[in-house]
Amino acid sequence: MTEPQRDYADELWNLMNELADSVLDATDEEILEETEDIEAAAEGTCAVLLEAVKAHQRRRLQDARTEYDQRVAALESTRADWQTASLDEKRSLLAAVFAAQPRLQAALTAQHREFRELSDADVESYLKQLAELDVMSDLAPEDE
Amino acid sequence: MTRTATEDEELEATPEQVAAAIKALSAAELLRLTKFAKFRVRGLGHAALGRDYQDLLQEALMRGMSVRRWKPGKVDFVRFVIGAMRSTSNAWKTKANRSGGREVLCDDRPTSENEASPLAGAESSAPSPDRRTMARAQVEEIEKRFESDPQVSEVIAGLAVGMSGPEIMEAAKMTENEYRAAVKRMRRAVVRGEGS
Repeated sequence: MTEPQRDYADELWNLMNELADSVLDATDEEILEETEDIEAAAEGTCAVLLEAVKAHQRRRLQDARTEYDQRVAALESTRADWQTASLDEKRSLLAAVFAAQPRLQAALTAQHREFRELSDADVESYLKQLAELDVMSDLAPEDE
Repeated sequence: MTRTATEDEELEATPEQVAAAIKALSAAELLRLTKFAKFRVRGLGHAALGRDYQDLLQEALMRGMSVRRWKPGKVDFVRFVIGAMRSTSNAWKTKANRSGGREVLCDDRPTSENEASPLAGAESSAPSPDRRTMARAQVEEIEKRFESDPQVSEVIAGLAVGMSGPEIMEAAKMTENEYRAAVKRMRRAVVRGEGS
């Protein structure tokens, strides 16, 4: 009879995961005893983690920029004939205008806590007001 | 568009709070994270696709900040990072297993487009038997190192077949203290073997 073939990759995974978990139960003294150059190792890990925070922030800025560009592009394509747009398109258009000029949202929607609470009629009405004010022709974001 | 933050979002740490939490970590806490990352990556073997413990620390924190978010009042920061590393390394293993014989490391780490990863597009051309051989060599090396330590050998044999700690203790008639001491002996030997 042949023995079942061992899965060494899984065995290694199980072994090392148990050792990783044992680190969580170890005392601070044990952890420090098991390290040769404590200061260098700690500083190295601190630097790696801080770099991760910076990379996360850079990514968020990039995502925000991309979202803004997409909203502006969508607005450019629909603002000319917003009256014939679908309800979803009108809602996106209004969101894009508010994203570009947040103070307009505060002025127009004071009674609403959230944009998504706006009814279709509200959206239509606000777009009409904005068109009359010729706001949609100027998409530049407000200066802070 | 402005919107009202939910209660959960108000509890979530800002990047500045995360950075402050990192700077406040003690040396022992930082080294605990380091060791946990090293063991998880070593366990991946070839499935790590050349990524090291620093890659795991970094990707886990970035994913953690994007997906789960740390809530300072509710979760200890070290536990948060440990949890993020556990799920990230599990995801790496699952992905490597799915890819089968030939693995391509698509750089799915959340970095900015200006940061070209040295790992992007790296391809492992090693066929599966080589990977098995490498894992086998590592397991056998550990087994050999502890062949004169019956308790550690019992632990290794149990873990190899997927038994949990309590199952191994019961099968090998070990107390919890004996089990923990055996795992600690193994951990120290492995750490010494890799030069801490």
